[in-house]
Parts: sequence; C-alpha cells; structure tokens
Amino acid sequence: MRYSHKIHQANQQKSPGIQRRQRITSFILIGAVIIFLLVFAETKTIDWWEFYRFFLSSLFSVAVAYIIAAFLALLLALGATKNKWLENILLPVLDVAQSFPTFALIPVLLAIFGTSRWVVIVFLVVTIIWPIVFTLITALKGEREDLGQAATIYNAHGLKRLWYFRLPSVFPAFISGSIIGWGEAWEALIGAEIIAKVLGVGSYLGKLGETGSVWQLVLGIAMYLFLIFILNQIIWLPLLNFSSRYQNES
Amino acid sequence: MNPNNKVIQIRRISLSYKENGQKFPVLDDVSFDVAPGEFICIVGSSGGGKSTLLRILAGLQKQTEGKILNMPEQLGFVFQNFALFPWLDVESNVSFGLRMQGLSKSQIHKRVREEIDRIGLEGFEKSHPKELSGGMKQRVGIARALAIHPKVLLLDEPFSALDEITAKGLRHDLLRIHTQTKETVIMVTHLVEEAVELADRIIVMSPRPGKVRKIITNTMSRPRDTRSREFFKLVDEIEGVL
Repeated sequence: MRYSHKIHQANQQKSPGIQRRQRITSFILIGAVIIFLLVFAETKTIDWWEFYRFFLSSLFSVAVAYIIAAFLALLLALGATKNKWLENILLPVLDVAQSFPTFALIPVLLAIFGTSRWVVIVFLVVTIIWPIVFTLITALKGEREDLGQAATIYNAHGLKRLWYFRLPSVFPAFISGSIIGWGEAWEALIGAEIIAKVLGVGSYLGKLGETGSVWQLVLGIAMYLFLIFILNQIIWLPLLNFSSRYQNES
Repeated sequence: MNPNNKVIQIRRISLSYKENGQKFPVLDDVSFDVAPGEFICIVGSSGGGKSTLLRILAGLQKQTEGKILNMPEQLGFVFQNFALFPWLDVESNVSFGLRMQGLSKSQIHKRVREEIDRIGLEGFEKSHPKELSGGMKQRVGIARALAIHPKVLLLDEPFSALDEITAKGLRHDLLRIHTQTKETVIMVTHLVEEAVELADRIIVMSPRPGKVRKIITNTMSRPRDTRSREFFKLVDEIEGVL
C-alpha cells in the first residue's frame, strides 16, 4: 500500500483504457479474496464479530492518531518553512527526531500511560507524522514563486494566505504523505497492540498465534489486509484523484 | 487631491545583489514618471532587469536605492506564465482578489460576470487552468487583474508565451479595455512592435545593469496601422536606441 499511490499518480497520466483494466483487476482481486474468505469461513471456526470489533478498535486508534499527527505535521512544516532562522533550528531537530526508532518509545509510553489505548495512539502519531511532515516541507519549499507573488498582489495575507493559498498548494503533498503515514500506521499497529496488550486486531492476531490456530491466523491476516485495501480504495485513492486538480501543470 | 490621480514618480531606482563579496548591479538609477491613464511600455532585451523593475513597482521586491512616489495600493498584475491557481476554476481565479478584499458574494458575482463577459470567457467559468489554452489562461489572468478595479495595471510580458495570432487578439482586447477604463498601464515587453502598437510612451532600457536609455513619446493616433511608414520609422528609432 505504501507505494500504491505513486503507481496511481503515474496511472493518472495513462490512457483511460489502462486505468479501466487496472480497475477491473482490482475488482477481480477483491472478489477472489471474498470467495476465499467465504469458503474457508464455512470450514474453519472464526469469530467474525469479535474480529470486526477488534478491527474497529484498531481503526479508531489509527484514525485518532492520524488526525493528531496530520495537525501536528502541518504546524511543524509551516513552522520549519516560515523563515530561515526557524528552518535552521527546526529542520535538524526534525531530521534527528524522525530517525529515532519508534518501538524504543513503547517502554516509555507504557511507563507513562500504563496498558492503555493511548500507548498505541501516541506510538502511531510518532509513526504517521514523519512522512507527512517531510512531504509537506518539500512542497512548501517548492511552492511556485509566481503563484506566491499572485497571492501577495491580491492581498492574501495572514490566515487568508494560509487558507486560500498555502494549504491548497500543498494539498497533493499532504495526501501523498498521509497515504504513506496511514500505511505505516497499519504496519506498526500490530506490534504496538501486542506489546501494549490493548484490544485490537494486533492483540487478536497475537492471541491466535499463541494458541497455534494457524488457519484462523491466516484468515485473520487476509481479512486484515482486505479491510485495509478497501479503506484505501474508498478513502485514499479518491482523495488522491481529487488532489490531482490541485497540482501545478508541468 | 486624490492620490490615485497623481503622477507616479519613479525616482533613482537601483538594485544590486551581493554574492561572494562581489556586487552585481541589476538596475541603475532608473527614473521616469507615469501620468494617470497613461499606457507605458518598458522595452529592452531579455535579462535587462525590466521584469525586476516591474516587481519593484508592484512591491514584490525591494530596491536597494531610490523611491516610488504616489503608487496606488490597488494594483493588478498580469504574469508572463499566467500564475493561475491550478486548484481554482476560472470563476474562482477571477474572483480571488475580490474574496481577499472581503467583498460580499453578490458584489463578487457581479464583478466576475462583468470581467468574464468583457474578456470573452463565457462558457469556461467552471473550467480549470489545465483545461485551457495559453490564450484563454492569459484572458483569465487579465480578468483576475481587472476584477479588483486596479488603479494601475502592471503586465509582465503578458503575450510572450502565446502564438502571434492569439497575442494579436489579446493586444486588441487590452487596448479596448484600456480605452474603456482609462486605467494606468505599465507593461514590460521585449517586442518593439508590440510597444509601438500599444504605448503612449516607451521607456527604452539598456541591459546589465538596466538603465533608462531613452523615453520616446508615441504620437501615432489609435487604432495604429502596424504596416504604416510611421510605425516602422518609430520601430527603427527604438531599435537604434537599443
């Protein structure tokens, strides 16, 4: 999923025929997964309601973490590109911070929050935030000079400049960064939930692994991937498509 | 007296950059006046500092020396590469300055309608810049500048990215609008013929550093015959100065 948006962006340049074939392939894949799940769900006992409850708990953690991370990323990126002085201070700090191994944070978070959902949420915030911050910084630093001048000439200052010029101009980068961050969050979630023993897909799969229920584990992982794929199809790819109208002409 | 009706005075404008302790002059002691309602063209070869001068007049860049007196605050600017906001449709691009001024929705709608009709963008209101041709994009750029009812319209080589037929049509539209609105126009171009066709006065600049070499008053009556002996004589005179 991490790089699928890049492929999709490239596809936007391709002919409608290619796009249609790829959409058909996606539906065939989805159909195959559904058939696989239906067939095996008949023969293997798996508590789907429990799985969905766990999945929704995990989705809640990822969604809350994403909202917090997106907001903080925006503040950090705007701060780091505000002026040369702030850039010289913030950029090295962000560079060091993003290379910090995030799993090393979990013991600290457990010490602070105990075995609560906040351990997972804060851990996911730290995971999601970096791709968004750095794609935003790149976009803000690469803003087209003439568009900025047009905004200045026509009195887009202060909050109006932010709302009517800066945010729309970095919207495609924000979506790209969000897709990467969102994908990394799902990867990190499993480990975090197992370690923090918090209700969610991670702890559910961890429990199946401990009990040696290999088939249920395979089905659980397949379902997990399928739901992430669906979220990608109904939320992120349409947003990525929509953001293409915000992009500058080459 | 209304400051918008005063003569704009550009006085001893100089600009230089410093790099590795070395001084690179871009503009040197540029002075001229612009009367209200006048159409001024600044002509010179590429890289001669004309666009930089226009940006200084617009307040987008700071000069190292000199001052500009009586420049009104309400400025329209037309960019060489259009500088349209890609996420906005034609209507929203044209209304951008009006929204920044905080005008009411009905006022914005009225003004946008006027400019769209005047500049010939009917039927393209909901199109995005990437769906438009170069000529249409520049029409949007001009409409956006005119919508705010500027006291001075600044144009930076507005037709140089267009083919000659489109540029010719837009030049005629610009002249028509200037005759209707009587707005002060300062336009930068590297095409001498374009300057002779449009301007009341032509500021001829020398390159590196940009310096006013001569100011020529164009007394030809409008509409100007671009094939007349008088036209070519003036073109030759300016090219001689360049």
